[in-house]
Amino acid sequence: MDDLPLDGAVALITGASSGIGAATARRLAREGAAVALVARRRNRLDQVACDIAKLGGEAVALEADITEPERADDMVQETLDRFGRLDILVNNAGIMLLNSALHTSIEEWDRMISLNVAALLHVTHAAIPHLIYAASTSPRQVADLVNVSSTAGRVARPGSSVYGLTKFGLNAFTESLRQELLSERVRVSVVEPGTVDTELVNHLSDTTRDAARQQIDGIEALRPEDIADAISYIITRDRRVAVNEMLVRAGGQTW
Amino acid sequence: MSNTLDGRVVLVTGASSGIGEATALALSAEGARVAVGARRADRLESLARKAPGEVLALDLDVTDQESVRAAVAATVERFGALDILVNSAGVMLAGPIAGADTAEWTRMIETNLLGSMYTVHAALPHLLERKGTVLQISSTSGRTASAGNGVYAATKFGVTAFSEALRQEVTAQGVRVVVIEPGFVATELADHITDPTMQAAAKNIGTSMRTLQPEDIADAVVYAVTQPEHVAVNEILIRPTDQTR
Repeated sequence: MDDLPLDGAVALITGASSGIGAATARRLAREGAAVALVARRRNRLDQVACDIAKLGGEAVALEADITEPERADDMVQETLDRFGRLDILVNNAGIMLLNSALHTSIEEWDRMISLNVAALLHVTHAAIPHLIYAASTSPRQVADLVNVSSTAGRVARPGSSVYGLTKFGLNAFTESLRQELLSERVRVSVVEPGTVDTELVNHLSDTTRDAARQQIDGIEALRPEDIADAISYIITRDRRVAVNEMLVRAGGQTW
Repeated sequence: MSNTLDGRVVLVTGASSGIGEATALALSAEGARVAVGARRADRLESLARKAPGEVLALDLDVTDQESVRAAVAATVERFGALDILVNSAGVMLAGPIAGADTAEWTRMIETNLLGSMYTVHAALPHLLERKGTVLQISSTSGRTASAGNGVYAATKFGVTAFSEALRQEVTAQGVRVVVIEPGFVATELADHITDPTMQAAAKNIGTSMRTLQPEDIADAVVYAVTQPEHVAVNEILIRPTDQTR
């Protein structure tokens, strides 16, 4: 395994129990990284970790609800305890509760802010010093922070007011961090997927879910692996090359 | 290695140097049949010799609609179709707005903005037939304007707006639109700047950081155009790791 591009690197991936997170974990492990998998669902995490181990990769499952601030910090520490370093952070955990401002509950808004924004900030804040250290000591001579945003971070639409708020905010946070950390050789990037076939829509109410499914009816959605491929492309570039942003929609997706 | 673009037909504008040349070579290496257009035809002959696959060299001035139509027609006549259009032709004549030689503005707008629109217009019927791809080489200046770069940025913002409208128009018909926004790349782009201050500033940037190489952008182009049909990479913003703006 010495010739793999991420050999010796350690990656922490949030929301790694399914969808884009799980696909990214598998992919980065295949590229040689040791991966720390963070999510709430223990059995699903174990399954992903087990898949990775079967393919000869190295993974640890870390069960946590990162909306609890101290648990978010713990995840970075547990990754360091287990693997000794942190080269790559993929902030993937997110929830999309589409609803109109009139009919939503404030609790739905709070949940999105809590996971898509607050939890992401806690994990990132804890990780930054370790990413800087990794960039200055690793053979790659670079570290990577990749945020998974959304087309909803580029275009606002009815029903996605607060989801869009979290993703527009994430894009701004990403760009600011990019400028702050580039002199430390930490690359900060954002990926904006369109419609991906994941569990993201499962959390919607029956009517919004039906509406969302109707909209994507007739187009072939992206697969989580397609976004994992984009993330892998970003992370495996030569250290002089920073792919700052990738907007990737499903082929037939007009919106 | 499998040639993922086997048999596909590509037209690359601005192919005599820099990103256009590197892209033409990379797509040729992926198995595409490549038509390359530029005003400096002698440079295209050497590109054609270097390329591993079949190359058609074309005299092309993108500011001349007749020349654009002729290049598209010659490509289709030679290769039987057109699958991918890469708009790489561009000039950056940076300088402050006050006291500018407006002939330079006209040249940038005609080459970067109108030129890329003309090629899309001429190529689109063929791209629709093949569910093809339009790939625009824009710039970080298409995302952020800065002092001394007003008109160049205006042309690149314009390319982005045109591309997004085009994307919405042709997506349902299976045509994908990709905008690549490179930061500082080691090419001849800055050599044509006439303003001495801006020329010096560009040279300074070139030596103060590890710039991108044309091959880095060609690699991003290859990534975008070799995706399976259900994946549309609409935008890639790519800077040298050391570049702030």
